[in-house]
Parts: sequence; structure tokens; C-alpha cells
Amino acid sequence: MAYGRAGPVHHDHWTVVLQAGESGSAGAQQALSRLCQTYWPPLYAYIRREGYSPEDARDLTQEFFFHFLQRDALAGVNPAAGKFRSYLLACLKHSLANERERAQAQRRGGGLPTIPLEPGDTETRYSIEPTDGLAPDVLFDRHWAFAVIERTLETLRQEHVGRDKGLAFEDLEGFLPRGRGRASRSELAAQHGINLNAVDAAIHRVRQRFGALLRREVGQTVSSEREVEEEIRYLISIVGS
Amino acid sequence: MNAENRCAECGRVIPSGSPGDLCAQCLLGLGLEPGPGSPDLAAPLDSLEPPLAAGRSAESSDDAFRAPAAAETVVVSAPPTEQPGDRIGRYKLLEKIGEGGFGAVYVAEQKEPVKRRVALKIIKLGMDTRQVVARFEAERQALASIDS
Repeated sequence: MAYGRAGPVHHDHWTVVLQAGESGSAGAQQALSRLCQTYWPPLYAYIRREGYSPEDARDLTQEFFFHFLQRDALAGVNPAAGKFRSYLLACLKHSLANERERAQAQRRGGGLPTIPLEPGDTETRYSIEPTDGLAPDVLFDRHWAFAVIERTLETLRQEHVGRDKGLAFEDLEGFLPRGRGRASRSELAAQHGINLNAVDAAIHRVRQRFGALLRREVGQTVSSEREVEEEIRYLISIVGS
Repeated sequence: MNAENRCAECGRVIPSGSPGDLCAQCLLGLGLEPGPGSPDLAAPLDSLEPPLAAGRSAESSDDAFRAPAAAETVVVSAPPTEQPGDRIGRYKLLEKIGEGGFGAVYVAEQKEPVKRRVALKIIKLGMDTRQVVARFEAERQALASIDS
């Protein structure tokens, strides 16, 4: 049940990935593509708030990422420093400004390679979300925070796949901070024939591991290690707004 | 739609859109550095003993799991439902003597290894940041210096 050998901890910061991607490195392109797959929901939601239909928003998100990955439409946006979150939003605004000058017909049928998007769930969630008059940039950052959490949860889930020892992620997920649906420690202990101390230890470990993975995830979206803490605090403040 | 859905740990309303109906603020808080060298906030005023093993003892209610922080750094985080008479680990809360935005301070009775009264500081979950922990440590040292 230890997490210590669960893959490399070090990940390049996004600026390094971006620069490497320009040189055509397959690994860097893959890393960049992964970042895009994680963080498309905030962009999709931002585009929807701009008044585009779900279909147009999906097309625009895919087109944006196509150009982003190709690095051919982002002149004037400086990635030298700062956060991936801010950079991506700046690029998106830039892209949408260009988009408004284009004919809608040109947007369709281009046969662009696509990032797999499944906006069904995202569309449902965001379309019923109360916005309470929050500024689009604030909403974008909130969705970004949720995307960070979702990616971290998924990584944690993947780490549990194939383990033959210890409690499953599905067992432990119910003990992450939540309101309704809180799981029962004693039921879990009885179910697996272990004592409460063992359950508590497993819960403690999974929460610690979540924290470590979250730091790693955030670490990829900022320019330096010392910005990780600041970014997490910012995200905490923004989801509470 | 989640107006009534509050986090069982921090007591705040779970933000709308938070993944999996989880508390986004608490989850993000798990990623904050535990604060190396920060104090054991459950420690008695006159010593830094081995930390409390967990926020609550095993015999406490079933949903009362409180995650301890790193081994040498225990921040007792709890929902705003603590009250005199409650037990937290080996401490029994006797009287609340202070409260602020970050948590509360209780006079508590320690049963073992020796019976004595201590001041127990409980930080609300999500407020256990390095700065807050450092502030509590400064207070603890100030109190310890005047404790007979």
C-alpha cells in the first residue's frame, strides 16, 4: 500500500515542455498534448460563456488546441514566465479575437487532427452552474482548479489499478473531503477483515498521496517550484469565491 | 443546487461544480506543504511530545476520521462542531478559552501518560497552512515561556 515507488516525481515545467515541443520532440509533444487534455474544460466553458453554442465551443476548443500544439497562431503571447493557466487563457483570448474575424464556414470541415474531447459531462455541469455574476476570468480559474483536482484524482485512481494489496481506490475515495455520501470506516474495516487503525492508516496515506500528486500536477503549470504553493493557495481562494 | 451540501470536514459549502461532490477547497489544501519543522499543535504547552497519532481516537464516532499531517507535524483539524466534553485522541476538551477565524483553543485534560491539563489548539481544516501553523507556534512558545 506504499506509494513511494509510484512513478517518477519529477516533471518538467510547462515552459520547458513548450520549448522542447517547438523542436519537434515526440516526448515533449506528448507531454504538451497531455496538459491540453487535462485543461480543456476551463477553455471550453470560457468559450461557452462567450456565447458560442456547445457545438461551436467544441469546434473552437479543438481548433485552438490544434493551433496551440502547432505553435503557429500564438505570436505575441509571451510564454517566458508565469503560469500555464494564465498563458493558456491569454492564448485563448487571442485566438477568439482572431476567430471573430473569420467566417464561420472556414471553421468547419478543415479535417484538423483533434484532441479527444467529451464535452457531454462538462457541458451538462457547466450549463447548469450558477455563475453569480462572476467575471469570465474568475470562472475560468475556478474550472481550472477543478481540472487540476480531476487530473489528480485520475492519477491516483490509476496508481491503484492492478494493485493486489491494500484497499482499492473506490474504497478510499469515500474518505476524501466531502459532504454527502461519506463512507463508513467500520463497514470498510468489517468488509475487509481489518481493524480501524489499518483503515485510518490507509485513508491517511491516500490523502497524503493525493496532496503529493496535486503538487506535482500544479508544478507542471507554473514556472518554478516556489510558485507551487502560491498557485495552490490562489486556487483555494478562487474556488471559495 | 448544492446550497445545503457542506463539507463534513471544514463545514464550508462545497463549491458548485466541484468534482465528484468532493470539497475542492479541502482537496487543494491537501497539496499545501505540511510545513517542515512546524509544531505539534496538539502538544502540551510544556513539552513537544510524540505527536497525537490521529485527530481522534479509534473509539470515536465512525465518521470522525481526521487525517493527521506528516508524522512530526500534527495539525488537529476538525469541523466546527467541537465542544467541551468531546475527546480528541488522549485529550478531553474541558473549556473553550479562545476562538478565531483559524480555529479554537481549549483547556483540555490529558489522561496519559500523565494526567495534566494542557491547552489544545484546534485548527479548522483548510486553515492549517504554513503561515497559520507558524503563528500558532509563536503563540505556543509565548505561552510556554510564562507557563510555570
